Amino acid sequence: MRLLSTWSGAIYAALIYGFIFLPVIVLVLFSFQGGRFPIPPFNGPSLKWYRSVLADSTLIDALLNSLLVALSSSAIACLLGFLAAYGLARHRLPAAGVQRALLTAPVTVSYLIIGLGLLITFNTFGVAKSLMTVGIGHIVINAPLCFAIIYSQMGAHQENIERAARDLGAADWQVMWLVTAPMLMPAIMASYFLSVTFSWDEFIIAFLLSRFDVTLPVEIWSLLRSGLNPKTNAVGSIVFLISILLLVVIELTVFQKVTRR
Amino acid sequence: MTADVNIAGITHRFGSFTALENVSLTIGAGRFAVLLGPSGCGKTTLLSILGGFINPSHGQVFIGGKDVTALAPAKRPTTTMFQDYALFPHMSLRDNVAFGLRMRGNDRSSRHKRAEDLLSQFGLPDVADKRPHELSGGQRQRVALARALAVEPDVLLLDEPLGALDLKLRRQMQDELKDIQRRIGTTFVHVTHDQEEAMAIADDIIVMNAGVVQDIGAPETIYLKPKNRFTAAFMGEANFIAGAIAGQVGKSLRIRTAFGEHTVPRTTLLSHHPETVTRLDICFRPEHVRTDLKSRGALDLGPAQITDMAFSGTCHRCHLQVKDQTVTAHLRQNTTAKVGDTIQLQLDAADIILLPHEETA
Amino acid sequence: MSTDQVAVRERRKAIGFVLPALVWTLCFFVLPFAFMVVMSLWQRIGTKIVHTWSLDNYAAFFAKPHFLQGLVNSLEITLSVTVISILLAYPLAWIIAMRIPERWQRAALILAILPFWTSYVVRSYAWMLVLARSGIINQSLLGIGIIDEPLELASTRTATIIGFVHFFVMLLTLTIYANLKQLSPNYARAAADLGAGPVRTFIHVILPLTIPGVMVGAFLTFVLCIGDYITPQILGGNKELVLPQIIMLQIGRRADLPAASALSILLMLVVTFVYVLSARWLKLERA
Repeated sequence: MRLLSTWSGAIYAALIYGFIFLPVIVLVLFSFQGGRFPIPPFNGPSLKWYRSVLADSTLIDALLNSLLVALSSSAIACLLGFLAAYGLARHRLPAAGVQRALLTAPVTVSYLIIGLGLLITFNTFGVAKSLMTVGIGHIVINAPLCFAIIYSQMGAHQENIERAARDLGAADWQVMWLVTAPMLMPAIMASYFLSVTFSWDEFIIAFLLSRFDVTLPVEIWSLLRSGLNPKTNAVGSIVFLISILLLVVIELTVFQKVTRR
Repeated sequence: MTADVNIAGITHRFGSFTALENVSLTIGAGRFAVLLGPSGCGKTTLLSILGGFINPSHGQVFIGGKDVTALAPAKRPTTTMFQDYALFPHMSLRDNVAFGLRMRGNDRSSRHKRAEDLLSQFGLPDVADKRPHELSGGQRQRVALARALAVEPDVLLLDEPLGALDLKLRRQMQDELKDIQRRIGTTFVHVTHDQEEAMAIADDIIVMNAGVVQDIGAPETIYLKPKNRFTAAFMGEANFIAGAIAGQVGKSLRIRTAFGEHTVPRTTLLSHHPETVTRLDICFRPEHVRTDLKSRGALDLGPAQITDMAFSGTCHRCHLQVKDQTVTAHLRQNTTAKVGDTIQLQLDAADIILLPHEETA
Repeated sequence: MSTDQVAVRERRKAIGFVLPALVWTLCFFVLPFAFMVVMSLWQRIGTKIVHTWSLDNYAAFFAKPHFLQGLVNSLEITLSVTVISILLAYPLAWIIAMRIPERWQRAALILAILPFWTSYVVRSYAWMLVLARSGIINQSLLGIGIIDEPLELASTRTATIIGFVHFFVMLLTLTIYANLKQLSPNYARAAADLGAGPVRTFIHVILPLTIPGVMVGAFLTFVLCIGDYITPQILGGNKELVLPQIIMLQIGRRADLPAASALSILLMLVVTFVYVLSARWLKLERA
């Protein structure tokens, strides 16, 4: 009985893992396709599609745009989130509940609707669509996340630690710079990198709010119009690789520290 | 570096809840004072007011004769050692201890030297590079103490610093705290709910309950001559026998209780005037119960039956039934009495005190 | 300085910390939403947006069958995805949490959500490769002779559902795993101690305790799924449109922002309605 349940469990897990990995394996495998189509039979391996990606300046520009938007919008989102979390966690403010609800409200709304609202607003004020407008949209979706993560990590215990710093003579800015921010660094870094990965992968807001300079997901989207193409596989594999690297960085820098504490 | 603390008419309210009601007291320079009381008695609020973390609703705080009521914590000649130590988790122990000096603008090498000196003085040499999470509870406690003392405060405030330690370590740290306090002479104000801890370390104990100071004095006084029923009961096990003053003969009082009339010295009534007291309680501690007194000073309460008995090492703790009253008593280690035995319950008049009767809730 | 003045100064400082985020939210979230509401009450006539107030855009939703059908498609797909994903993810989360040795669990979990980190657009594209007429599934099935004709998998509702389920199985495995790990192992021990077998322990103890967490995951799945454009657009084959696709059609091809706004607000109302329903259900469950 026990053996049976172990076996059926193992088979079930294998099937689901297979299902989860099937598209990724197909994607990566056929990025090394020698032929013109990313479908069986596989005749490779060949790096020609990767060469074609690296030679495509539009794609490379889009990749750099994506990185720029992700890194800078996340920095602002993180800063806004941290300051708001500090204000709300450390002080008793009027209508704090309403403020918290307002700050986290954007996470409950579909990206499409946030994008449309911003599109209408920018149209109304005659703001041209650009990477800047995309970044603004990404801050709207990521700041609540940063706020929520950092706020949840601001415990009463740390409040005592800040008191101790103040007691020993630290001014407000010293408390924040020397104690609060370093103490919350794992939460801040986690929210920053999470925000980077979300922004890096976001399509619909970037699609609605960009025009000439586009981000990578939007560029991949237009690549899809050419149908099944191993070049898309190659781009997809590169994106996957970059995301995994980012994940490893988070794992090593942030979570190692968290678990050590 | 030391200073006296003068608390003048402090009242503090949280909304409609009164945490402190018109508290006034003085703590002498260089004393080890302990604020003692059950949780919610206002002791921690009072400590926070001394530290400057709470602004009192009314009243003033003077330290070394200077009004510090409106000063921020950093501007006061006090530092606080927090209950959870509040060590900076992201800094080395050296940086933790040196933090206050850094805020005062001391240069790096001098403050690091001072921090390392303090750490080794407190029995933590060679750990300056470690982080707080690498230490045991007792070690963290010493680091917190070193950090608070590094800036040489006049008054050190300690918020239940021993609460998280196990019993053995707590005893050891009590001795160390007391030793350190003697050595440096800084005024210590220490908060605890543990009366044994208070007696072990304090020069002065301030007993608090429900936002009011109940009693102030040296440990022996507070334990043996408590001012009221609350203090008597809080400081340890106590028996109360209801009575009334039947008369006054020279330096003696006649007391009438359910067990007869007794003559006791007038001094047992402590500070109260006999004329103002009608109903009173005879208060005595379990270890004051005697079975072998023959002298004239003895109060004889009559035969008492032992209803249960438990050996606690230093004595046999037992309950006695005398008429309709239960009395807790400590019988000598080598007693031969057993449960069910009847013994003669006696007290030495020098041991008892008389307290004006209070209606208990 | 009096106590009150200190409090006022402290409060002013605190508001200064929160203010940037509040202003940002007001300017780029609340204000755009207000603009969208206003826009939904205007009309597009020809290429112009006419500022006359009416509910025509909302009326159109109920008048034009393909709009209403879009909502029906959205709901059908979202509900199937939510149910299938939970049914697939729960056992996997349970196996990882209960059957795999503690030190391998983190690795197993990271492995289970690794494809999360492929680009969202690329993930749907990859499913297109897998499900295509000449894709790996059809070729394998033809190869071993189970079928004679390639199956029409790509560009169907089934493909959309598979693409979604793939994403949400990963998400739900993560949330349900976290939920299972929060339970003290003593619950299961106590149940076993009192004579319950593994099945009854699961049904009477583990499952009820994890239902609130599963509901949170289900709600998250619902919200993300019903608002998504990419997966149905890439995998669904444009035969049965879902609401986000119809909204994007209004924005893109027809440049009809008023209609798009009205449809978006209706989409939000549906989500809000489901939220209210599930919130109530959660409370009942706890009482």
